[in-house]
Amino acid sequence: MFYRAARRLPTSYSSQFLIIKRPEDRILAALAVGVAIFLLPHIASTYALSTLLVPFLIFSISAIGLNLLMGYAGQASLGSGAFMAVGAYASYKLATNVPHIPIVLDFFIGGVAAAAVGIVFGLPSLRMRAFYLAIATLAVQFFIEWLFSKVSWFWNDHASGVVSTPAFSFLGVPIDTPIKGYYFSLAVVALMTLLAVNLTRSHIGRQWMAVRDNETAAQLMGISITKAKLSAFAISSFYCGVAGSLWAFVFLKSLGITSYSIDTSFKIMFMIIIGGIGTIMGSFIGAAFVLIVPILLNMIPATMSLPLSTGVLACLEQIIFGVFIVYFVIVEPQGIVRSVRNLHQKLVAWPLTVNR
Amino acid sequence: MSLDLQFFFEVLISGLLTGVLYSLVAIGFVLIYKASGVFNFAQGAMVLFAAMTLVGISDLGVNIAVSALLTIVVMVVLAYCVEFFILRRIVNQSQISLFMVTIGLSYILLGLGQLVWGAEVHSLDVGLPVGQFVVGDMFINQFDLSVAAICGLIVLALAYFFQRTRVGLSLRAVADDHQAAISIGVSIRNVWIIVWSVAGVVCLVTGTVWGAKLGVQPALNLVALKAMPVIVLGGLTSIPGAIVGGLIIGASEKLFEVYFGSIIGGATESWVPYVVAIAFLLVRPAGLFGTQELRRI
Amino acid sequence: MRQDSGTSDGNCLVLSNVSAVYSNIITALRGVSLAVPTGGMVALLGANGAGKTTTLKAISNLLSVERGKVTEGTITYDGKEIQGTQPEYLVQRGIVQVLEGRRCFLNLTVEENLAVAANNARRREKVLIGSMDDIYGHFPKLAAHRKSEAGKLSGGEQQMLAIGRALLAQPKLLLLDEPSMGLAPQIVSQIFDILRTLNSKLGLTILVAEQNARVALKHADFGYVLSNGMILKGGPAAELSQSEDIKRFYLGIGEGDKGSSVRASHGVNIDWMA
Repeated sequence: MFYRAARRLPTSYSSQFLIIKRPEDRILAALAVGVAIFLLPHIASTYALSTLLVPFLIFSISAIGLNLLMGYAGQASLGSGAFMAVGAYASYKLATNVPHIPIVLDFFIGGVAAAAVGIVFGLPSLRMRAFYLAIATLAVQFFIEWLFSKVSWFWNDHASGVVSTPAFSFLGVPIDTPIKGYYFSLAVVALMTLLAVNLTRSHIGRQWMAVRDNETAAQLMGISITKAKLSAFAISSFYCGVAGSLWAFVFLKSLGITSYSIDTSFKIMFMIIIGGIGTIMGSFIGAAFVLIVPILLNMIPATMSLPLSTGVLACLEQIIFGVFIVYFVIVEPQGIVRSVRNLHQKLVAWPLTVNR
Repeated sequence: MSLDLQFFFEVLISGLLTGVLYSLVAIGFVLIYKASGVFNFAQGAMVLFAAMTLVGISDLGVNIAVSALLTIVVMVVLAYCVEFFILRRIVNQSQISLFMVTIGLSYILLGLGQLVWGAEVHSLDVGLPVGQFVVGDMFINQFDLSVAAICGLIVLALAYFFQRTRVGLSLRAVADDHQAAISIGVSIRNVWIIVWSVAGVVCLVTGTVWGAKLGVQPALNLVALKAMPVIVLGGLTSIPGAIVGGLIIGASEKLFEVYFGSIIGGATESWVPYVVAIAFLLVRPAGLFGTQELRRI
Repeated sequence: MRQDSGTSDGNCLVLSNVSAVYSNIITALRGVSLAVPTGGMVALLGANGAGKTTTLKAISNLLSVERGKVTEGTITYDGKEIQGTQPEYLVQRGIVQVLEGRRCFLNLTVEENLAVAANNARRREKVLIGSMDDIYGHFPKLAAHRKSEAGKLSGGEQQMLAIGRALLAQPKLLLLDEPSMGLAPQIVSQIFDILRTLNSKLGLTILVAEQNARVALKHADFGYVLSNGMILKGGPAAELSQSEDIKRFYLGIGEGDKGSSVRASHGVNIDWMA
């Protein structure tokens, strides 16, 4: 009843390729975009904008990146934090040393730098799989962390390892308030998401999925495994690089290696697992979940006025977060996206129920 | 012996003995991976949890041997809980999911340990010798040597267990093909509980030894991150591999840091083990002693 | 084929109106009813994807490993319902399955493979096979390769090892999933001869799922044809192998459309490719 399923057959080739096929879904999507652009910035507090929405948007980009690599191409990676760092530091060096390039372009070039590093550090994937590959990516993570904390050239030899990032503007508008930061991030997210969706539906995406599902068969079909895997690493790192730059320039307004540690890599991985591995939508859902839950957990004792010390609170939060992760993997291993899709299917068939 | 060569050997031996400590953690990993196919990221957390429990109980005034026994009981209970709440319900999920679950488990154990026993550093004295042996002109740490001996004993015991006992055979069968094992009546649950309990005991020994060396503190958990290159180098399913891997990683990490570290900024131990592991993997993708998967295409 | 549900009356195993799904989405079995008489050898025939493996795994309760479950119906063994019983208890009560694709413990030796089963059954009475030597008696090729790793055996030898291993678990009802898969006709013949011997001389009840209808019906007493999760036909093996429908679908003999839907004798469409 909510969805008309009858006689909704495609009548032309071009209608087959639409990203959103059902008119009802298109209305929903338009509504969501409208809320994001027009409503949210005005009803959300500055606090919500700056600590919730902007991080959500930025990490969504990383999550999409990791999803492309792990979910679509099937390559394990625990180094997403490091690739964010590469993007951030590359953008910083360009922004401070090559002033005639607009900083927004530096984000893009920083992403390309991250992609190059991604190709290099993705080479082990040609020889290893699964856990072995994951360990190899951990090597990247630790090496990059070390590099950006020891080699002072990367932060222009400032005395402190943490530097502030220069302010920047986009199309003449300086991005200096939370609202402008929000709109800028939203624009970048929209662009990158569109790019990702198209990638996954293109021949490159199909090659990735072939390699993921059965590498031998893919090879026998004539797909170049090398190109598929390395392109996945490159593009995924590009996304993480751009996200890293945004994190430094838009959110933190400073640059320091601690934001790109292994905890960040794990955080991004949780996002895609909880949200839904192998889906673009899942990256968003997961990012929202992973960023919001700790804040909610923090708020509970305050609202219930429980007299817990911060130490105890921190331990409890850790335990609860662990329980959440275990719970999700057990109950919904394909992520929240799977539950959403099941619900969607039920809505399409309602009031006739899907056969059990 | 020239001073330089002597110095080299001291560094080498020190590295090797540190490597033995890594091997202890890696052995726990291998046990669990062999029998339940799970890459247990929570190994470090288990080591820390075991050490904290031991210290916590003995700080209450209980004799250290009894504390150890009680801690073993705790670790067995933990094995039961992990089997009941987690392992039973994630049968046949993807490797990534299993790995994620163990990350969640590590968070739970870390939080629980700190909640119950507090976050301060505890010292642990288990009566291991702390002097130095003098060989020629070189000093060799007695403590490290005893640890190596303990490690050797554990390995022998485990080898015997796997190769010569009925339970060990069932474990190897489960590790090989767990559905086939179920189909002929092997009780997977019992196998898992046994393996996690044995791994728990190994964690207790590991935690005791590490704790005696470094003090029982939350940073102990990072030990797990060191053990991963060890098992990957040695092969995920091989205990001798864990030993050899540990020795190689320990030695190379120490040597690199001492000889090259100062040139490039120091603190290279965070990544050198991983790079060494990758280098070996490029030549032997399943690890030095790992079994190459027999895949019929 | 009409079934009496619930009572045993000479039937070792009775499935009554069993339905099974995977991941709550894919319906694999729909109202499957069949009976396996004690001491008999029954063939479960069907093409790829018909539901044979699902049926066997439903009986052994191995579906949960693949996120499957029985949603309707009852499975009765020796007069008692067994849905939901833990697989290890079913083995103790005598239901042992030889899985599809043989599934030997590839890194263990032949002897160790057999020992795993023998160890687990050591406290049960030895109704069927006394010891490993009996297995070597039935399968001389295994005796020759006692100390070899199972992974190095040929397909036929692995199949024999899998069967031998299952026998050491002291089954009263042996389930086999496509034992002929990937094997040369001569080896398949040997294996089925051994199964027939076990059935007639030792009284072992056997339910074998097979795509190779000819070989299966040659050795079995009864047969059922499964298609798209439903039983289409059941009866004595001799009758089935004479049936025009079976001949056309599985043996390729007879008149009629080639490769398109054909009506069976009781008016149900059977797709060639099932």
